[in-house]
Amino acid sequence: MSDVTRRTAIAGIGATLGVAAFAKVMEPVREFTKDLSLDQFLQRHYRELSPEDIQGVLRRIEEDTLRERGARVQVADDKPIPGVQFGYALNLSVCNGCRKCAEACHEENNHDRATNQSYIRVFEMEQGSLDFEHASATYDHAVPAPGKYYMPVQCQQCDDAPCVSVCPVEATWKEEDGVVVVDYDWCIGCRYCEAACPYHARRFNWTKPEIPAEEINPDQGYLSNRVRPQGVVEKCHFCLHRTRRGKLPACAEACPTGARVFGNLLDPESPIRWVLANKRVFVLKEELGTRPRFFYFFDS
Amino acid sequence: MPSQTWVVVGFLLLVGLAAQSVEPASSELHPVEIRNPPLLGKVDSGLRDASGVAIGIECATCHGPSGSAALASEGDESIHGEIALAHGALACASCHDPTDRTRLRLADGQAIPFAEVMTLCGQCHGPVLRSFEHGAHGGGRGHWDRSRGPFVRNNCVACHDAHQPAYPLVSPAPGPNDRFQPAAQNGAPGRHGAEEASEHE
Amino acid sequence: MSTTTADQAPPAGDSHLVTYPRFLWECVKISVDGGLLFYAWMFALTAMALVGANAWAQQLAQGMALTNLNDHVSWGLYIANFTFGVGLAAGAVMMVIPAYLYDDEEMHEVVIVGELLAIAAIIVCVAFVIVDMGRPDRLWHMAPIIGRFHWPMSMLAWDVVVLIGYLLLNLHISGYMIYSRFVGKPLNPKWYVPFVFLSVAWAISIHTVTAFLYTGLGSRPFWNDAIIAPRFIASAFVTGPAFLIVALTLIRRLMKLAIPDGPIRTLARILRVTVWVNLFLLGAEVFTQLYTGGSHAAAARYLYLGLDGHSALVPWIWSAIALNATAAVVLLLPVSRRRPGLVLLACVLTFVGVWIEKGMGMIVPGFVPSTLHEIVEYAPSPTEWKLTVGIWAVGLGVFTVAVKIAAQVLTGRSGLGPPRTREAG
Repeated sequence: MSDVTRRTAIAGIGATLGVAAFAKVMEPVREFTKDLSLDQFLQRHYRELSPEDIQGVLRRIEEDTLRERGARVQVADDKPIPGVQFGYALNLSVCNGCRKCAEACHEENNHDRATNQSYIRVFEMEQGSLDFEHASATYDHAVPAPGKYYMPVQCQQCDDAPCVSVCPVEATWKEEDGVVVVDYDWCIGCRYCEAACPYHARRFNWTKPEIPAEEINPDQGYLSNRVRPQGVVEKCHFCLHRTRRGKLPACAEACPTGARVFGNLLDPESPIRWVLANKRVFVLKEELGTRPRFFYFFDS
Repeated sequence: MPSQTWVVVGFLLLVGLAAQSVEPASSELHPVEIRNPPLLGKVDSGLRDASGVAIGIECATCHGPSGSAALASEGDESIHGEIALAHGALACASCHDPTDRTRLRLADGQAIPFAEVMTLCGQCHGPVLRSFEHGAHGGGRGHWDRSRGPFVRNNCVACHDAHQPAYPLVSPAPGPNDRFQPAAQNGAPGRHGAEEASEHE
Repeated sequence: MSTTTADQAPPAGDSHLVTYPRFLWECVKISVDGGLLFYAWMFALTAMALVGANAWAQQLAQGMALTNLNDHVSWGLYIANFTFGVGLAAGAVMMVIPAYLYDDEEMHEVVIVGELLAIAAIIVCVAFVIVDMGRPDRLWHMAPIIGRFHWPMSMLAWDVVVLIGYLLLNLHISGYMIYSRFVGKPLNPKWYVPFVFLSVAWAISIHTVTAFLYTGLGSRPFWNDAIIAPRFIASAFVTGPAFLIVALTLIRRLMKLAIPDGPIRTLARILRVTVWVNLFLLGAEVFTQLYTGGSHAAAARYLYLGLDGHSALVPWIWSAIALNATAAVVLLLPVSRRRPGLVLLACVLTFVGVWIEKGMGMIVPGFVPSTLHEIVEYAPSPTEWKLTVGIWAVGLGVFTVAVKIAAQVLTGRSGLGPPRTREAG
């Protein structure tokens, strides 16, 4: 009997110590929970939010950005324009690999500074080859180099997007104007989309993005360039906070060689339509059946 | 975008308005503006005005009726000694009007203002002009949707040096600096290349 | 443990409302009571689990940057262990099939060990998925109705369904058996036999769906291959029996239970075949990839031979092949039938071999080279190793406690009914 009592006592002490030790080892998690408000935790999926809900969420993001980052920003919720389907074409004959597009993307979209993150990756390709196996994205010499051409790759805004199919929580979807977007407040960070994307278009926030307050682009969109939270996936959104207001995406404006042609696929008079009708365009990895909205062409 | 757009562009190119922008064909549309370089049809004096803008010298200052210099076919060592013509077999008078230096001259002898340089270049570079006319060459800034705002385009010489059209090599903007840089391939080492990757392994 | 016992007639005047809490309390008592070896074992597991918990807390706070994962190799050690764990859970069915489909009486007496292994393995799998998530606070987004569960399009959604289903099936089957014995009531076949047969099919499905997670991705030629599901099943039927042979041997020795040789012999017979089938399927894959060559085989080239001077995975995969081949040969030797020690050795070798093959040899090369043929090599970070050890410690702890409860109750040492001594558990 006394043996049982002693064992019970030992078990009790053990359990208490165990609980205390568990509380101690889990302490760093407070760093994670301190920025997490109940509103944020309970926020519904973007497409379930009423117009009033969205306004509330946008104001909250603006307040959070001011409080946490010291930057005064405006977060908008631009909707697709009826009758507009976005498309993009890129002239590989004139692209000179200067990476100005990637740089403009980096600044426009409030990317993490330390990693020089960008939605665009420019590949230096072998003349006469379309095989990325002979390509490099990390070239660091004057361009264009002899025997090379340059292939910028970003989200191809596939009509049959593998990333959208695989997402277990519908945190990413195709909008009516063809842009594949991510609800950064709904993504659970499983990175299945990153495995599924054939174009290396998706990026994960391995840590909280760091940007000096004065460099934060204050002109932001909920589904586009607002500063992303830690632990979620992001991707190119055709600068929808610009393009849905009729402007060109940042990468198109930044291109010094005029290689980039952006526009409305439904407008028969648009430059993009002329390119599709008159240039021999191709898409990357056509055999995968993803039906990209992003086209490449050579002048001759 | 209605078809008037290109009528407008064609009008601009062919009729040769001196104006740098045209009225929208429909009152709802903003214009297509052609951006000309600040010294178009001028020679850089090397001087800057109070606000830092380059001061150009009109060609006619020397070459006009009151000027004395002839239009040389060789590189001149005086004010535009920097012009080293390297554009195929072209000579100065292939493009410049030797009788009126404020204008360019087409192959058929017709004189056109500098702002219509596209027509001149298009005499040889027809497919490029065609692409340009359809918005597929030359890039631009502003709005794809001109019901919302103007679209600002470049003219030929905004990007190409007509005297030496070959593009110079440029230094690219910094490349990706991922947490783990892909190993350099094809002898093109990334600036944060192999050493960083191996450090984490 | 069991959720569907409430409809049954209560035993000897007591309602389930009384006996079920007593059963749970007894489970708690059994799980904290034991000899010195038990305490030492559980203390060691707890210590490892706490190290893992601390690593997870830090990973949550500082971000997944604490791992060596990146945008090129976006899944690594966690998902590798998840995949292996699913195989282990599915492999446990190799006790259920002989017991129920072939009416192997001796196997029937110890089949509960397999079911408990399935439970522990699924818990391990779920834990690995959760620590791989960037935002585990948003797990509820997966819940039907309140969240947005992308079923049936997303294979990950399917995987959640089959894993949770398999967990519930096994919780029900084993819980029902143990609880019935606890209250001293005979088993009613209609309350568990249909579930057992369902669980056999379900076991195949969990590993098939897990393979479909990878094979459905056209972006990854290394995975986009119909042989992976069969390979997963074959390797599951290697690791399941291998683990169970070792576990049954240890249980017999340490808990002094009269487990007959029959089940262990049957499992060894299964292993003798599956370990070769697994090697054969691997060989078929290697031939197809390497003989064809080209860009689509770049990952296989990287894995087996190294690519453009990068060869981080080459030692891993050849170790795996060597371990599996050695085990396969040892199990074929006639002497292995007389020397149980050799079988145990083969079990350990092939268990480790398959763990490498399905992790560093299957998940990681899917990402190297990346979809745009960039090569970033991956080796797990200390945080990843700590979490991995911690989660397996939790799994082993769950398995230990569950086996202990089952043994106590099924042998009649704990319970409300008349004591029964013959049964081993």
